[in-house]
Amino acid sequence: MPENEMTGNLFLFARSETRDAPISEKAAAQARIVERVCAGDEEAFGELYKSFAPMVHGIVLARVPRDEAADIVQEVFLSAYKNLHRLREKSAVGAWLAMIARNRATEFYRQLKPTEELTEDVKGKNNANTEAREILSAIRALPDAYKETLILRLIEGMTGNEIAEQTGLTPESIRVNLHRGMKMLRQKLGVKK
Amino acid sequence: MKEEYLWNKTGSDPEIEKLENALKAFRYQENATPVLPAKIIPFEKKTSRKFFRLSFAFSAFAAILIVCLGFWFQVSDNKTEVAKDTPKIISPPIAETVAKEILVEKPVDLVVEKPKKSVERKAVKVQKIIPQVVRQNNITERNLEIKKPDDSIVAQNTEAKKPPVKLTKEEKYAYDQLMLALSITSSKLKLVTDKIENVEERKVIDKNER
Repeated sequence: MPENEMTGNLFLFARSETRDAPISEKAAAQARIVERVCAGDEEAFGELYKSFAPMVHGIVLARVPRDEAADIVQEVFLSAYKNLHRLREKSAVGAWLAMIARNRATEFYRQLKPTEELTEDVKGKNNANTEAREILSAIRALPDAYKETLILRLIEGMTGNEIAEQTGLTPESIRVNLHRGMKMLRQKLGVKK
Repeated sequence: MKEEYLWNKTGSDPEIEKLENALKAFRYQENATPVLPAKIIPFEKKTSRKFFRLSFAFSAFAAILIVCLGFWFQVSDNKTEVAKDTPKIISPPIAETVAKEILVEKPVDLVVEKPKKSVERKAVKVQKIIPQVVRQNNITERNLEIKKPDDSIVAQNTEAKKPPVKLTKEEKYAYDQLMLALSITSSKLKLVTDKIENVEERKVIDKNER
């Protein structure tokens, strides 16, 4: 099947699916949580953290080393807590958090002191995660839009709709990113169809 | 690769499942929520820029209005003060009193026969102080020399005794100023004449002495 035709079908499919999904209700629920946090409700902040932490982790993991990701996620949420009152569109909290996560990841590399990478001997050749690391590094080598979407789908286990809801992107663009990203990843890993 | 599985995990795709299983180790492990800062951050109330603009415009207008009103009141107060103060100027009453004296005394002086010199002196004195009034009343040295009560002077004096016409503030102020100027000039004239007379008297004395 030619690629253009396939993506066209995907768009149609996505449109029909988004009609069924009550995204606006979820956005309203998110806005309510944000308002509660702004009112000083710490429990609401816990809810916000639970619902968005995987997404933030995925975005951070696409850019920084795995060991640093957890700390940066915490920093992102603390920063968000301090500045949440500045958020005008409360329902767009997901996109806002994603933006903070991207900025934090960029800052991490700006503040990073020069270090030397461990050699393969020190790391251990027979590490169980070697394959996983290779796949992750292959994903990280992809363009930003593709690597974020693929990590959220393959590592964080989110569906296309969930990714769209949390990142603020349209389901159509998520679908395209997933499709093209997978195609490029397969090429990188040398998987044949 | 099944698109359906990639999108919403329905069905199965061994290739994607394999990738998922391999990458499971990197999945986010739920941690406790980050410890929030001890100090409760006060959330600022949302205030629109429009409100600030309106409030600024209103306060600016009020300030300008207050300044204008203050200036206006000050100016109006000054005007009234000037109008009130003008009658209190020392000179006009003096001028009035002198004029009255002249008007009242002249006929009496003229009726009562006094020595020529004294009458002359008084007439001269009057002429010195308010020349205009004297001129109006036609009191000259020649008239005084006649020593007869002049009906015209009496008539004029009676006319002068009539109640004065009510003047406006501005007219009154102008009148007072004029009277002040006249009194000043008359006093100076008096000084000059006194000096001249003294000189003449001395000359006469000197001549007599010689």
